[in-house]
Amino acid sequence: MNKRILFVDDEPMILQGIQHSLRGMRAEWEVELAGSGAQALETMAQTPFDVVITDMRMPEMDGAQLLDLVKAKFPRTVRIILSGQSDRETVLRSVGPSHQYLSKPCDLDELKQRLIRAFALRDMLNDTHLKDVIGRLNTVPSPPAIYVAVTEALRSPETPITKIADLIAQDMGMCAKVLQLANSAFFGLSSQVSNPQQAVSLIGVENLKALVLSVQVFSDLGGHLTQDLGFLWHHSMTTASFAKAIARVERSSDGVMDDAFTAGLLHDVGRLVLACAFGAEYQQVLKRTEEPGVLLAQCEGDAFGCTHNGVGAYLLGLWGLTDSIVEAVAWHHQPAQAEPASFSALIAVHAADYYDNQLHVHPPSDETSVMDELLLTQLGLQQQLVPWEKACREVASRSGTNA
Amino acid sequence: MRDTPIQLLLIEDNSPDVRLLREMLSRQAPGKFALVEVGSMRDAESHLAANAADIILLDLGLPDAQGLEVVRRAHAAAPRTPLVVLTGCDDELMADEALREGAQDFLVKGKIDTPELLRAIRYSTQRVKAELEMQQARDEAETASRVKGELLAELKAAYAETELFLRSIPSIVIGIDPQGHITRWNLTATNTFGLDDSSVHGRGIEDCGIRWLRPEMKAEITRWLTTESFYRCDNLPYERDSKMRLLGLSVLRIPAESTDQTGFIITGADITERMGLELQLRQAQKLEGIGQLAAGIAHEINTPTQFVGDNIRFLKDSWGPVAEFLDFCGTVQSECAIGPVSPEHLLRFCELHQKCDLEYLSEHIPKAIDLCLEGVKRIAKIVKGFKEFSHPGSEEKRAIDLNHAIETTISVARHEWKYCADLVTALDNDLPLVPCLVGEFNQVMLNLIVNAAHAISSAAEKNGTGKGTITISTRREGEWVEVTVADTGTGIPVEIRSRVFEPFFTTKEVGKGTGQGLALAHAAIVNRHQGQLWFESELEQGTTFIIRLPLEMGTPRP
Repeated sequence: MNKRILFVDDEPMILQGIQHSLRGMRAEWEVELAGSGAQALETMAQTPFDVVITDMRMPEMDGAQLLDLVKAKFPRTVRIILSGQSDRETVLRSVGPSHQYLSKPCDLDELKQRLIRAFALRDMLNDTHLKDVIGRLNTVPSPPAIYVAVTEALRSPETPITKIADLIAQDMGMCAKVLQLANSAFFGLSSQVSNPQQAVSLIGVENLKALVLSVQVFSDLGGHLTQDLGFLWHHSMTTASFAKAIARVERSSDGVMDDAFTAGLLHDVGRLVLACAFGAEYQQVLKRTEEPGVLLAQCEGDAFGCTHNGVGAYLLGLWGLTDSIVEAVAWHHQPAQAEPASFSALIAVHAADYYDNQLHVHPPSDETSVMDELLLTQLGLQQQLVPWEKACREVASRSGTNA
Repeated sequence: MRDTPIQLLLIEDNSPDVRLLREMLSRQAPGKFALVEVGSMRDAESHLAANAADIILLDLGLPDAQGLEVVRRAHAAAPRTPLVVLTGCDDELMADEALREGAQDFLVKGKIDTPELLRAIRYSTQRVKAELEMQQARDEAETASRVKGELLAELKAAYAETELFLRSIPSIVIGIDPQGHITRWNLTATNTFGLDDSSVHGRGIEDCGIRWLRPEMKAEITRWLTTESFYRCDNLPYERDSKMRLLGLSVLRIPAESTDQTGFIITGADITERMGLELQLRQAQKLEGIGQLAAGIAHEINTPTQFVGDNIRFLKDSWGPVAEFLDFCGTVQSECAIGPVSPEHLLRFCELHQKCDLEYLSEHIPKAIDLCLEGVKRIAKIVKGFKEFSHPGSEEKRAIDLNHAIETTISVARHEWKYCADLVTALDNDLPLVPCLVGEFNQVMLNLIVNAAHAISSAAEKNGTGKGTITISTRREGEWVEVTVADTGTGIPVEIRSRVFEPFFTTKEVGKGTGQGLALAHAAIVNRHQGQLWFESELEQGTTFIIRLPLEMGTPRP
């Protein structure tokens, strides 16, 4: 089925230009235009759209107001702002309702890439309800201890930015959010960032303070869930540092090491999303995995039509994180599906996840974690397993975790 | 002649002598003397304690006192009364002693006749009187000198106070005489010019040591000296420590009875810092305006840039298949020249033709080209408007087309108003050219338009109303040109109406304006154009700002 895209702008010439420029994609994309927020809602009510891309500053209903309504009425539609505005007030108002923010004038290739990425992941989730849930999601919650530490650090005027960044780099929810903000043009410039520390410094302490303290881009998981899911943070931090260590063994570039770390941190973010969105239901799924031979992915698929890696990848793709991270999260259990040509963050996370499951027992065990040795052999990496494991054990003993 | 007899006290214990004297006096000067006789010193003293005597005659041999003691005691009892000693003993030494003790004369009994006695009495009396008068004069002179000293001290104190007062005035105070010579020079003048009182006193203001930088300083000073009452001189440049500084001075003629008494007081201050601050504020306001505009312009240029880019991209993408098709047309054409076209080529021809999307292209390529041209035109217009708006403000008034200036400002500020208001203009086409500092006038208009837009946005936020209207009009009103900017915004609350033109007064949140806009607008219109700026406002209905500019250059302040 063709993807349907709705463009909203009060300037008809902008709309005409976009229509012309996307003519070449007519085989796959259907482009429709609306001259105002009201007209956009009317059009959407007739036929659903996969993506709505709106200008920010329009008379009567502006972009943020429109997307707030779209979020409520058509949550599974991807919401993107395309605007020349980049003042803080506008940004704070648009962070909540929009998934991504593109800066005008926008290069057509970038727009196309964003759309292609958003569409590619749409097919990973079949369940429309799940798409609605994820489409509405503003934050991925953080454990109370980290949440409090970060908000207090932000309130205190003396905290150095590096300390705030280091705190954020321990938590998958905050990390995903700052990467969403930095990868979008919310603050005027978008850049492909995968390092949470770098993302924090791009956003800046003052902006982050406003985002966290007044718009609540971070949220508190609450004590109860933390007890059940606490292991996830330990597992994700360990996977992150293992993945980075493996990338270092491979003498990867700084970019790949950053990707490996962040993808490792975020690889199981889908489990957190499912646990928060479907509390009791997900509990039952987890219960089933206690029986021998029952795989988590199988149970998730039965219950939701997809697995946690699909959910995580979909969310991160929606938020505009870089392809290599989204890919690593999506395929960390079946890396061969992504058809990698060489070592990448995906391979690092796949191996790191496996080693952590070998070294630590996490209830419930993620038994789908099996090293894809065939793929590694194809890539000529099988003899690397020994140095990888050695590097991971060194990291584990350095950080004092019980190996 | 005097009526009252002379009171004569005779101190004598020898009765025949008393009798003799009484006879002598009553015979020679009847009624002239009132004679009182006492026989002892004690009686004499008690008499003198109660009665006055004009003259005392005394003997030196008394029962209770002898010789010089008599003189001493009598003098003590009546120090201002002349004493004439009458004695039987002719002793020169004793006579000298007696005179030293206070006696006026020393007569020897039996050796004098009546006229001699009378002369002695008269001389003694007059001598004592003269002495007394002299004493009195001495006393008076002494008092006068004391009073004079006191007055002088008071005068000195008053003078010192005035001096201190004058010296302490934090303004320059210089006194000059009608010829322009310095007569007074206070401490602030000393500090300002680095020249002290003594070095400038009596010198002309022109060559007293101040390094004046105005080339026609002589003519300027002539103007001061010929002013009837008051003359103001702003931004007078001079040099101190190799830096140019500015003075603001007032020259005041001192009112006096006659012309040769007049002089002038020059008061004022070094206003370099103040002028600097004012300049900075004006600059800050201008920068704020430019920053605001730059953001708006970026956004305005964004839009055409976006759609021009998109359309050019469309033209580029379209050309690929078209070029391929045209290329193949060439192949088919040369094939046709030889014989029939092969079925494969015909199929390929149709495929390529379809891929071209020619039907769409023939409709949309002209549109895309028009859009590109339109976009470029828009960008050019925005750039032109900005250039005109920020026209380097010449410091000289030029006759300008106010309507055109207003239209430029409206288009430059489009970004500020277009989302919240419609802008209606009612510009008088027959408006004459108006002498104007166009840069400053544009700033004022920009300010008023932005304020109007803000007032409308606030009203929309508060009442949920939609777009408002800004109406800008121009018309001629006698010797004035009137420009109005009316909005349908919140109106100005009554309690702040009087403060609207105050510097730093703002109702906008921090960071949204320096609070200088209207204050500087007021200064620009009223001070620099001799115009008027006021407003009429009604709560919830809106506000109208009215500018009036004089058509005549330099029309006096109304």
